[in-house]
Amino acid sequence: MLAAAVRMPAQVTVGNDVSMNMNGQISVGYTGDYGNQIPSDHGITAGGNATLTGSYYTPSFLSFQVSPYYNQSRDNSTSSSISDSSGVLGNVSLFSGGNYPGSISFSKNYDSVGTFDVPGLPNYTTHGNSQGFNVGWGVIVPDWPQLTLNYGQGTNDYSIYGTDTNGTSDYHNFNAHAVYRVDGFNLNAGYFYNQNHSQYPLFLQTQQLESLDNDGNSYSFGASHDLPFHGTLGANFNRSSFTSDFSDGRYTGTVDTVNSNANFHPTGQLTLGADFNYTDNLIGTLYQSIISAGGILQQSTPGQSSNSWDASGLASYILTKHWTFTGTFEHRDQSYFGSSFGSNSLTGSANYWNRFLGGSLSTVLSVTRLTEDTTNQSAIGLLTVVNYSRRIMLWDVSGSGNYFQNTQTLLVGYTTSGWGYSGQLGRKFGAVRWNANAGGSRSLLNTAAGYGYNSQNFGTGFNIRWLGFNGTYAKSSGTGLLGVNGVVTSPLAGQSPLPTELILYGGHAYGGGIGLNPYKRLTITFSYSRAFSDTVSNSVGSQNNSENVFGRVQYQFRQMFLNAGYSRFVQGFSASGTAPAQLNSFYVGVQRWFNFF
Amino acid sequence: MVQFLLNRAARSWRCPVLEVCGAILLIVSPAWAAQKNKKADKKASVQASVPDLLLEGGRKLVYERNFGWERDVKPKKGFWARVVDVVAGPPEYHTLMRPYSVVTDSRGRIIVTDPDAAGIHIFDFAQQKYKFLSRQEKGKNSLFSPQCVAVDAKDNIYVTDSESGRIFVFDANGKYDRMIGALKFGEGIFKRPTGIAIDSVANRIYVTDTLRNKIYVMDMQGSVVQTIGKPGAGEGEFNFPTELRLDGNELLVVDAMNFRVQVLDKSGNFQYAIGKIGDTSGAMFRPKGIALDSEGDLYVVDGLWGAIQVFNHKGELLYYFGGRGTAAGKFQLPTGLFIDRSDRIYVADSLNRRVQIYRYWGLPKQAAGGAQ
Repeated sequence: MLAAAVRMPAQVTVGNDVSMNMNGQISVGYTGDYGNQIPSDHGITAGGNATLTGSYYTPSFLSFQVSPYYNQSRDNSTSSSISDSSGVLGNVSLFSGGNYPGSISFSKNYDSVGTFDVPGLPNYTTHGNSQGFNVGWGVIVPDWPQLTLNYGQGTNDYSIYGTDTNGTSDYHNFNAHAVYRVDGFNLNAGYFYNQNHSQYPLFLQTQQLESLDNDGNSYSFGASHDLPFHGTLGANFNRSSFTSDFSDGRYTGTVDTVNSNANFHPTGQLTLGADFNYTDNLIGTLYQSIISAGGILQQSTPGQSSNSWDASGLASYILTKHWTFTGTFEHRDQSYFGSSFGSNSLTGSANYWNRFLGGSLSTVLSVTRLTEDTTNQSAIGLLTVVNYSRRIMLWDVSGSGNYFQNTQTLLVGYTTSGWGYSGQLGRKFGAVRWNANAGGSRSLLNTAAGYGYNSQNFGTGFNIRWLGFNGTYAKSSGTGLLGVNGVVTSPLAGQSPLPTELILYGGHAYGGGIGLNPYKRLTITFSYSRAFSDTVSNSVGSQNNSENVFGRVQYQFRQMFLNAGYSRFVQGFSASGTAPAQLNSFYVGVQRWFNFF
Repeated sequence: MVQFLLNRAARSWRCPVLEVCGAILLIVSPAWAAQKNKKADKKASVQASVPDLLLEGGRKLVYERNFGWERDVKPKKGFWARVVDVVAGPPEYHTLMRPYSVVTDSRGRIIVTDPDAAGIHIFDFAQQKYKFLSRQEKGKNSLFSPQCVAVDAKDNIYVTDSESGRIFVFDANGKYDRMIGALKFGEGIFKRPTGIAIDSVANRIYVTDTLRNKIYVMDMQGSVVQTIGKPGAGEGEFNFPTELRLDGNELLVVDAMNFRVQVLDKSGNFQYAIGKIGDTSGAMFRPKGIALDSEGDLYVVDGLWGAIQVFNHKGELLYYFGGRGTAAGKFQLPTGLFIDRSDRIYVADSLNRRVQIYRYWGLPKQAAGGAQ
């Protein structure tokens, strides 16, 4: 309403130095909620949010932003929602234009909606509380080492709709990083400390809580220097120590890695390179990747000696603007689980790009001869990628496909094969714009049949001037790791060599939506989606499903919005032993946007 | 020669303290908010005081006002309008983004083209009404970059679009009527139409095509009946012609890159030219809009210097006014110029996002008692 008097967002100046802007919205309406996991109620509700931004002296000296919100979902703040969340977000930047820039940020959220991921399918819905705090500082002084420091901490507690269990997590981390250039050397050093604690429900198999405590820190040092022929020579060292405590045991390990590389560009077309890597704890590297992906180690693992080194050389030549050829040689030597492994691989690849039949074609063909030293067995690896797009008459067509076979994984002796594709099609039929798309991928672990994943998705939609429609279908299955944030795909999984529990999953989902804009300020949207999945984990099977229905009508009059909406949400897991959660909500109300100052 | 001494425009002035207090009051009480709006209305209606430019023989040039957005046509609101403003927020007023050309019709409505807004603003101060015209269609049938505007005897509005190469015609009520310049298979007559003038007596439309260095003469249905001019620097030749103005039997053409205004008869025969290249007074560097007052003096906008120079028929500089700046009476890249029958001078002040209005008081009008 102030905007009636001023044409631009006004800015308040307090004293001579503080400038602030604030805008936001307030909503009032009649809401009704009912379901089997919440008390049914109805009545007048109010909500709102605001954003206050400002600076002291100048924005480059100190700037800030605070965004409180009350009684609304951040995902859907204008209509009915399954979670009436509240909270505040804020951040402050200091000396952003100077030599010592810093920032402080914080957030606190109550009853906010989150997700529990399932590969290739709609994610499951969670709700809970969280808070976070982060502070960062930098020292950027010319001719001195540049230093950046960051500290963060946060907590989260949540529950998954359709279960009667809760999860919690908290984290602390600190990192410091420095870079310095002296006498032609680029030097860098870093330190990272991370600690997190999680308790999360194994709701797909039992109602037990899995406990996970991770504690780790790492140091790194590196240096590089320019060489003749536009070349560089670099080396890095990293030591990473970590401890993982979980319900059934503990893992402690230290991983040292050394990497060095050299690259030359003697001509504009030719590139030569060499690379060397060494680690004294190969299995530890693998476990760390599982933990960082959110997985856990469900068995105690005694200390095992393992190491790995590999050396590779590369030559690449740009023959024409259409053709590039690359040759690579790599030798690996690994020792783990009391055995030694070695392999040599020789790879030749060609990249081609050109206009083809009126469109654009790009391809990659790569052939690898892979030989294992211990078994003296050889295999041919293959990688092909094809992308093509063109306009055929009135049709816009594009597609891509890839196939890979015997692709080396982190461990010698384990290779993967698979394929993928995607395609898009579209054209105009008079005033109607129609499009369709399809995609899919499949990846398998060659040495352990049955471990892998595949997914496919299909979609179509059209829009006319004031009407739009879309529909989707997806299906997915595979093996993965059940972790803190959901199921993580991992083709490199199995009881051996990984001491972790696998989860088998499979499911399909479909949905559709329609949007109408019959008048300039009237918007009508409706969407429906449903997902089904089956999981088997620790010999416990679970049938899971979710359903979302959402409809909204909104009419805008100046800065005021008249809203009416309805939502229905269902989510259930048979292994949880509880009835599927059902939440229904309807809303009629008014929302008003303000430019306060 | 007297140059205006100009004060800062009141409408561009804001008091932050008042706005803070206003914000607090508005949040607390709608009634107080209405009071705030009332004060703002008064503030917005205040126009800067620009000294009159006194000329020979008692003539004078008087600065009247400027306007830049829809709100200016009705600065004062009634009680209920203010209540609605408080409850639902103010309406989204149209604002001049980059006014380019200006003209008035027989009802006194001021019509302004705005390439950046891809439309035409119609300000009706007498009726306190505003209208925005645009046309969004597929292909080249949309109004993309309106340039110059003219009206016929029935107040139909003709707008050149330099990007689509079309002329869009709207009726007096602002309803789209037709398009001129399109041929079959999507081709068009014009390469870059800019200036336009209407001869309602002879039913002819004159359009400059800047890139073709020609003037097209068309009937009212859009059929080309004659072309005038060719590339060059000689008499009747053009180097990027832009604005057109029809005055009696004379057709005035801004020959932009020859740095002159050529005067032709309606058949295209060269009569005389005014102007020369230079960066001193009396010369033309970036001639834009042109117009003639009731005494037949020629007003030429110079975009670079932000000034309007006034010449007599002999091409002698009589005086100039304006100058670069943001205050009232100053210009930032002025473009279009129009003088109505009562000698009100409308200048499209493009980068200041406003139209400024002066009034020329010649001897006959002052003698008739029209003093300010």
